[in-house]
Amino acid sequence: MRSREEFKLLVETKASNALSDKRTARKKLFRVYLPLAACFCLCLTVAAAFAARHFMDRDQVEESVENKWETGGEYLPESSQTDAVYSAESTTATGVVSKDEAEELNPAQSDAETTDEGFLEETFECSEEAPEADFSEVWESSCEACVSSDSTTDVSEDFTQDTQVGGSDEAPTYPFEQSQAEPSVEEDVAVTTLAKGLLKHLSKNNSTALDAKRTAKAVEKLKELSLTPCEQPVAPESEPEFMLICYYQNGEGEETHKDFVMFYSQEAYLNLYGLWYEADEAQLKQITQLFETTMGY
Amino acid sequence: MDNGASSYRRFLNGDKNAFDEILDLYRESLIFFINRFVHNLDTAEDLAADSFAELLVNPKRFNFSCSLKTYLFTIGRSRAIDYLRSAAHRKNVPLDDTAAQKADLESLEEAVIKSDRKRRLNKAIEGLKEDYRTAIHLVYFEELSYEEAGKVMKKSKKQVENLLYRAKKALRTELEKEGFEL
Repeated sequence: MRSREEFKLLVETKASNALSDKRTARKKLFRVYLPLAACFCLCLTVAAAFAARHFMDRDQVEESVENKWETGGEYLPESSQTDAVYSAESTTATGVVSKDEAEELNPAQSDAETTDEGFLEETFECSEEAPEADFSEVWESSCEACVSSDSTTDVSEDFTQDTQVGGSDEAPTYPFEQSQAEPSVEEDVAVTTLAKGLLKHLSKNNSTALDAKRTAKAVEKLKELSLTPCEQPVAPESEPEFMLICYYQNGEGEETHKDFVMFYSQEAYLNLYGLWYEADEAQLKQITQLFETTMGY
Repeated sequence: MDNGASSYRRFLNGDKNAFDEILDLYRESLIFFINRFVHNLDTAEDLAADSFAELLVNPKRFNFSCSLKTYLFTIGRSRAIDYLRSAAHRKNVPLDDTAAQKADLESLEEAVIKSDRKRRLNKAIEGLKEDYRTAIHLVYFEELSYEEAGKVMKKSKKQVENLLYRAKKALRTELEKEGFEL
């Protein structure tokens, strides 16, 4: 066992070493750890600034897209390669979105449509003179049908069948006669809600994998409704109340799918991956609810 | 204020001899107390030196709210427990001469425990649990109050009372086995 003096010396030595260690630790703190901490804080600040700027830009883009939709302008940025493109609705049936508005929404597409429409109107006049150029054959066949029939409605029906379906030999089915009846206000609201919901969703989530995923999910849900498969519908005399053509990218951002949804006064026709389905009134409501609730509009 | 605290205050005011007084007052009792945990005198001395060095390295840590003895014994107990935890991971082979150690321990025991009756009691408490030993040592050999013993052991006064009750019960059984007159 140590003597008193030895013990005192031992205590002093230990105290001296501890003080020395303490000073070294303090020096290390100021020379190494504090600069490191400062650098780390600086990096964090820079990263936060970049992130804030990124999200701010993104918010601005989304806001501008929404504003354009609200004001009836082009609701997709030009750089976007995805999502909804076209919407048109007749004023006669629902009066929700006019054709003029649709033209404003997408002038390029509406121009093309106007051309087709002009052609249709021209053929419906059933004049003696044949139209020019490539349409002469079509004109002749349709004109013969017109002559053989009593009513002009049949002519337009046959003509439309030829041009839209591609000259099928089958007897034309015309499921749009009911569309002449005035739709109820509830249905109009439901259809309009669905259309707006779809468009808003597709325009909001452009060019993202999530968008394609959510849209695919919605399509799956639509399939679960057991819609009745049907032939490709023929366009009626009147314009459809509205029409949606949805383009979007897949997960890799390469392929694009096209979902085509047409609604008339009381019936809906859906084209899901190339197959056509017919929706009755109840199913139409279910579709509306699906997009209102599931998609969170 | 106890003698230790007043000496320490003088040391903080610049009186170098005051620290010698503190060493004289508590050196042996602290080594003896730490030895109860580590069962090795050299280690106990080393840990006691660490405890005293704490007074020199961090002088502002002691706020004079308790006695210096309580403060020193609290540090000593913590160091001893730390040592036992670290020693559990390393297998040390003791190189000390056990006979010399035994003699040193006996002389230290004589220095700390004056009464022969208490020394016989000290032998008996070696067989008790660690908490019982510590409580009995602090209260009966170091003559600390229940509160002070509680501070050293990091227990409440009530817990110390319960520990002592159980310790005395266990000690009674041990002493009866050895034929100690109660």
